[in-house]
Amino acid sequence: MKVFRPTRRQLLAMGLGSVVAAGGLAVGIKLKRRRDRVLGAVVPRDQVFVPGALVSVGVDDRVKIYLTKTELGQGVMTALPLILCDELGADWDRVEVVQDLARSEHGFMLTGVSYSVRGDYDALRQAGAVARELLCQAAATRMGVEVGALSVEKGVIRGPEGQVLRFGEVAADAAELDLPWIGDRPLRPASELSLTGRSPPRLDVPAKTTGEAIYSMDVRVPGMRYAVLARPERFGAEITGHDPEPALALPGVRSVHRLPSGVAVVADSTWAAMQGAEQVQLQTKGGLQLDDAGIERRLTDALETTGLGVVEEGVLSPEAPSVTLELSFPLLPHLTMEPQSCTASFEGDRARVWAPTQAQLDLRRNASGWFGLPEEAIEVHTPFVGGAFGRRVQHDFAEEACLLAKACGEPVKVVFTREQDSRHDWYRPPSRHRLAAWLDDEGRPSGWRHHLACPSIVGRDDPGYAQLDETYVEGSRLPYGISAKQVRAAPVHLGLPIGFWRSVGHSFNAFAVEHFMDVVAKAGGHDPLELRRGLLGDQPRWLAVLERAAEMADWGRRPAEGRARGLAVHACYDSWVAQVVEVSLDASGPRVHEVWAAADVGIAIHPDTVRAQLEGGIVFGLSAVLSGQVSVRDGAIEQSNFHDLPILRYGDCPEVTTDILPSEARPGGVGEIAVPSIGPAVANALLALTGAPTQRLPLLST
Amino acid sequence: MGAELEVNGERRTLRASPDTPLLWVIRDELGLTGTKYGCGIAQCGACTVHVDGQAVRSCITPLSAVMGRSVRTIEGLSDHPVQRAWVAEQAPQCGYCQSGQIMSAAAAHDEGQDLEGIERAMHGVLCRCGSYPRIARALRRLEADR
Repeated sequence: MKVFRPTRRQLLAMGLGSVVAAGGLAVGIKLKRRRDRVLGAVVPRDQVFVPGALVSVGVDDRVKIYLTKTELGQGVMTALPLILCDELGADWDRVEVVQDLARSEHGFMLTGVSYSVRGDYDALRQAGAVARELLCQAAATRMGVEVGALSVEKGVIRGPEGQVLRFGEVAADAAELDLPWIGDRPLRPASELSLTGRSPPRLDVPAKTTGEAIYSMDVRVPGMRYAVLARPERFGAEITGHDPEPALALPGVRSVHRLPSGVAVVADSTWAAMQGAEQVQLQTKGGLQLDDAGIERRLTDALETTGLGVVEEGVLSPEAPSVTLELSFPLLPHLTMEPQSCTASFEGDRARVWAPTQAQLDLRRNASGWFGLPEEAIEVHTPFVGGAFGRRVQHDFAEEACLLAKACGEPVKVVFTREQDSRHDWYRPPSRHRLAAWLDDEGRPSGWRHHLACPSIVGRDDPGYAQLDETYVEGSRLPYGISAKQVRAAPVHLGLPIGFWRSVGHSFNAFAVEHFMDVVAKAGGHDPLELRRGLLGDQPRWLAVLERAAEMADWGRRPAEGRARGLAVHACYDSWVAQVVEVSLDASGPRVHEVWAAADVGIAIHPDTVRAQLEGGIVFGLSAVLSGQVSVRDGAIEQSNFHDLPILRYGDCPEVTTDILPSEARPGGVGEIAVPSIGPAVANALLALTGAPTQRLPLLST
Repeated sequence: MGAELEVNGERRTLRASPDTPLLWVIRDELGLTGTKYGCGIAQCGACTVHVDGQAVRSCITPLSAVMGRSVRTIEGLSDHPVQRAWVAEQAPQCGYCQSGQIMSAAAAHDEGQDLEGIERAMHGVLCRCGSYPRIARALRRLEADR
């Protein structure tokens, strides 16, 4: 899957240009009476003013904003509409947010790369501005005044002499006006924005505290059956035969179907389908011949090759390096709390899919092939998603549901058991790193060499892949002012299903860079903060977060006996994060007591969500470095459930303090940014505590 | 012959076989989807319900074990102090684990446990999104409001 990073211009052109080209008004938004089970609102038909694909206004003043990203828990359901509402001047308490279907009008429907707010920011403001302009034009005509004499606030347009018109009163008139070119409308000054930076309560939180929020696992459609697949253990194994009889003999089991990825047992209940799948005997042949030792060997061998150039600055000394480090990172599972699932319904000339997807249009394009229907005949619905972290761009669960729905002629929900979810994932790739540094007479690094070997997600299906791409090198371009730098990377083909895992290449490269920086600091006799300060002289945004985190933690203060501090700083997805941690070590392993994190995310649209994502990324990243791994034997994953895939528990969670640096810069990414720096901060603290660097993750491996 | 039990204050007769885990009876037969499946082996706590006021992992509790008893699911809580604290601290992220978190906290709270006791209960409910710091703040708010 190609990693597509559109420019702002492209995004505007795709999302809104198509609307203008189609004549603008009322394109495609067909409003039906339906009950939104999540928000509990009945949506009326009389949304008469529809200036584009993102917002509509009704005669009753109701403003509907269409959400084109997936709410994964990262707060986009609140933050994105808030941007538009703020620019428009609508009443936030009267706004209804609608998770929209997959529609071409929305251009680029991908929720990932921490790109929702920073990617849609301009388009949302422009959409709000256009709607405000047209409503004001209509109001100005009605009032007999100049547009410039009007002010807009909370869904009300006020004239110079106290005249008042509500949005609903001018919506029909506004709908008659020509749509201006969307893309260069003048925007409100920051002083007029009343929601941005204020953190109104998140719209999805109440439903998530009452059991009312509907996730993919919860979708219920009349006549729906439940399906669980029996799957070959070994990746890539071919099913040569199966015996359906023991499954069919179970009460509640209705049918058994052969699919490319396994044998599906279709039943009247989830439990019957799970029981049935366990009864299916599969005969398989072939598949991946690989185990952990083999992975290690291939990565080590690849480190001996020249690799591809990522950074080449200055000339490295021919002398032996002063200090070196080898690092190994494991395969990591996503372990979303909600296992994979998908519901599909095939109705001959139409189809519907309810999928926990991060890529709606990609899914619809593929579903067109699975169903044998044109894309426009397929409705893709997005329920709430119980955790994504990159897993939900892989549509294996959707393919299975769609093929089954077509085969059965009934709506079907495919459910992965936890064991299947763990063993049939698209894992964060493993990697091996070799770092070397040369120190000058003052013990500061004058040369830096980093060689890494890692499978490429882009090239995962191509044994001959030899391209450089960001999925395995991002995060290795260190910001430090070291006169000679060499970073080279070798893509390695393992044949394993690998995929995007929260912060992708940054998740291991940031660890390598930031942990080795501390190893270098120690070798040269320098304080890790002081060394970085000296090497970040021309990088103000790096320095600012570093200094703030150090200040929050009171870096100069000696911690209690038996404890040590470590720090790390990293930038990814247009944001900067620095962290300080305090750890201790006992017989059971490292214990993280406190974390202080400072972040520069540009304008923080919804600061409380930014804080939540920092906290969440810290816990997610910490869990991974402490105990995250899956191991491979005979081409299959050895682990299966939370008993052998431990994740951080409540009682082991450190105290977390976060701070967002004030900024006027464009919004940066938020969802993934705290993950890369927590791990190296912990490793650096352990280095300070024990004198020993970390060479292999996870830290608590037995 | 159906199993009889009380669910959220209503007498219900259930068709599922007695060895069916309560989790799937609640979700599929009763259509109460607030109680979640996370692991099926009582490791994650997402399936937590109350049986006669006690927190129970419904994924490993067969229907036969709760016949004649009183079951409460997340849908049966009504403006509980735990729910209010969760909203005040904006605790949920993806929210999938939160029914289990809230039910675990509510059972301990209603039993009269102190903060330490409630926190011990929370150790049994996993969150992948890292809402633990906010849950901690919500529990402290709950304690303060008592």
